[in-house]
Amino acid sequence: MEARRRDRFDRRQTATAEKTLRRVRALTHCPQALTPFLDTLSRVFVDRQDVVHPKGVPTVGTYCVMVPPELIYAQGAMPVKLCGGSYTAFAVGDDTAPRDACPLVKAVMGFEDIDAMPAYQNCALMAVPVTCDCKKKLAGWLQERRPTSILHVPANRDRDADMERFTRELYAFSDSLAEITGVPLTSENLSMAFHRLAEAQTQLSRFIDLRRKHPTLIRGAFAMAAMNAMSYTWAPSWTKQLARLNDELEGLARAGTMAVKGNQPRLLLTGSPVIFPNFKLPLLIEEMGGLLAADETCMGERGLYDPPAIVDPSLNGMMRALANRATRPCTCPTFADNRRRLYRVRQMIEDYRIQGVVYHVLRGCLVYDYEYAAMEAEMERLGIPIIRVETDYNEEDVEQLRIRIEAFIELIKYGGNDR
Amino acid sequence: MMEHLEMEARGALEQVMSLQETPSEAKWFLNCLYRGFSPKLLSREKPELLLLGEDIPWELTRAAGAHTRVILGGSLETTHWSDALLPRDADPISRSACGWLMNPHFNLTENALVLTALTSDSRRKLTGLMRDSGINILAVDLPPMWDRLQWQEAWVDGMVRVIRAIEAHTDKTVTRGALAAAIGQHEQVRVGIAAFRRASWIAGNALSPALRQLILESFWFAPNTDEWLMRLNRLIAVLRETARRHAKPAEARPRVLIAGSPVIFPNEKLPLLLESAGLALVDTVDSVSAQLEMPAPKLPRFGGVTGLLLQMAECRLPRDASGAWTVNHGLLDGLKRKLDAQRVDGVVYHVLKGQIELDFELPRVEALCERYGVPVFRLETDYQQQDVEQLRIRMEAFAEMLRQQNLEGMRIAL
Repeated sequence: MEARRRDRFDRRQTATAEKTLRRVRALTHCPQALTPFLDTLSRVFVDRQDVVHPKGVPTVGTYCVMVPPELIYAQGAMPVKLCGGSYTAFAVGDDTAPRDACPLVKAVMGFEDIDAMPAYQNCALMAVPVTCDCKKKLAGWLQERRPTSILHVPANRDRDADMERFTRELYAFSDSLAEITGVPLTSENLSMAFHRLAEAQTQLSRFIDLRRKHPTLIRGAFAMAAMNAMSYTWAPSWTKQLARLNDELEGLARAGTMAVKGNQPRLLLTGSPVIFPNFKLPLLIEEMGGLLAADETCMGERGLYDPPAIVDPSLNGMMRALANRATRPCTCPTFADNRRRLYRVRQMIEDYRIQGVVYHVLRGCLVYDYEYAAMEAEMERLGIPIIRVETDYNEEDVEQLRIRIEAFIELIKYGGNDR
Repeated sequence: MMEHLEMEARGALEQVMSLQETPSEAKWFLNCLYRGFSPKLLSREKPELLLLGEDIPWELTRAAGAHTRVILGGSLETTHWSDALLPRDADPISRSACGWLMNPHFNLTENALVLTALTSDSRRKLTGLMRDSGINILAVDLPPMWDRLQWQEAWVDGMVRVIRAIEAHTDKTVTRGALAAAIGQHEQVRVGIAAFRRASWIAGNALSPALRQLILESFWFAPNTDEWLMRLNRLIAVLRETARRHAKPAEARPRVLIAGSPVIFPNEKLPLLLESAGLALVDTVDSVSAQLEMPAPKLPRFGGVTGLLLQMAECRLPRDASGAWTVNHGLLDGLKRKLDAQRVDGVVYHVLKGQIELDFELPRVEALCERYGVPVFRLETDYQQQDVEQLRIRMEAFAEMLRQQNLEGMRIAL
């Protein structure tokens, strides 16, 4: 019975991931340098192999961008972002999680239950920041099954005391890391890790800069694939891959070869994270004649966008810098006051010359839903059309979404928004 | 519109009172509940402090001696008022609380400092909304677990902030003595409630379980805790006297416990459904009732207010059944204590739509009850009345099953 269940899972999981990758590859103007990113996703989700990492380096599963990768690299491990986007795992998790839990958490619980994904199963430690009710309960559920480090993320972040408390959470997490790797945290190894990630950030800045200057240079679905691949790639390798992609994009920009026509409506995706293989929305946008010019979700650039600001090079100073970087500029709706998300979206609209906003709400993701009203009011003020799309991890609503997205794109195309 | 609010409260009271004759000593409590919904009083009422939710110990505001109102939700009418402000899937408690504080009909927040703890997504986002609309609010963060000293300190730090904010807002100082006295009063309330439960059981049919539940809920609406306690003690005496003189044994109805989401006046749907299905509500295990069952901490001889708060943290946090925790040990331990202490035939696990953190606990609750051989019935609802008939059918089926089970048990015993 169990074997049949796993077999069914294997087939479906493979088929869904393959289909998504096929649809991504089928989009026109796919840069050659994107191949390693797609290969990474294929390796983890189609071939169901573990992530590639140096021998003897344990992997640590993280469930949010608020877990600083620098800390994990510093202590001799590799972070793997495990937030789930799999429809098949979601269906498995549906039996375990409450009906109204968000699909992301259901997918994670499904992966844990089915025990068939090496990238998940081989993690020596799980790190779960408590950012919403579902993650909070997921943390308790995981802790009963796996070594898990729970990080309390402050809901307010403007007081120094909150930062101090989060810094202490990071120290506690570092202790858990030391237990699995045997490597204590020192200022030297943390500094090395900062340098390692700084290189990735430099390449990411180059990538962002290229997209800002030429919003039609690369399709958003490709950019999202590259960002998603970061979750399962050893940082230095990802940096090299992104550098090659940047080189290719720079060449294309010089030659004036754009991925889409200049008059294609440029959309911004914000809201709940888009995690491979749930590329339903980016693919629909691109297939229906829009251009996903930017995304503000936490699986996009947000994960590495802000470098830590180190004013004190001591170990404690660097830890504070990590705590600050993880929380203060973050636009996650976990924070009680999240006006900076509006500022960030406004900035992105300017930078990428956005003509419409797609607001993604995963069913059950209440925190993003709460912020929709404020976002809608802001967009109305700016004269930018916005559409709220609520969806789940299944393909049943694809055709309805297609019609809505198509209509939205037409509205922008013929509605006279000529930003 | 405010008349609808009053009608909602009156309707709930009348339904409970229609079950059987209400002793005159119980009427004061019902009047307390009713006054909380009176349009005239609501328009006039300008509390200094508003406690949003049950997570901040009421002893802190009591120690300041300030006029305080507790907002727990419970009302369908206030839920309607917040429809445009909150997302569709927000839980009814948050919707109702939002309606109480942000509505065009009365303004409780005009002179008030709102105090709340960030225990759920809704609370967090609601705080942001209120702040944006100019409400003076202090929201303290609660850690997701309490078993690390660091997390207990975080709780204490949060409560110290609450006290400082109360002092700044009310110009009253919360001294160690005042806090110790409030803790003492809390202990009297806890002891009083336990005595009341015992007395109402031995008095048999003198009070219906739904009425008993209302009397307990009235604590949160009482303008004066001293008077509430005094009235409760008087009622206990009456019940004891009734039991001594002419107690009729309570009908042999299956004994049911409600766990999960709290039942908050005027949403008495669940106790009334139990009554109509012929089930006897023996007790409740939820975040609100758990607050009144917290044992008092030992008062340290030294250490000031912070010392007292540390003792409170040690004593309270393991019993706190709030949704704030990664695993709700407070709910599970509370349920276990009640299953150990009395005969329970079934557990109704009440989940208010959107309270996902309680739904996650269901497998643990089921596992616990299975060890006791007690069936669990998950009931999901909200503050609307549309589902009452469906729920009634389900509840009657559950009651029938419990009755059969009891009969079977008796046959085996014979």
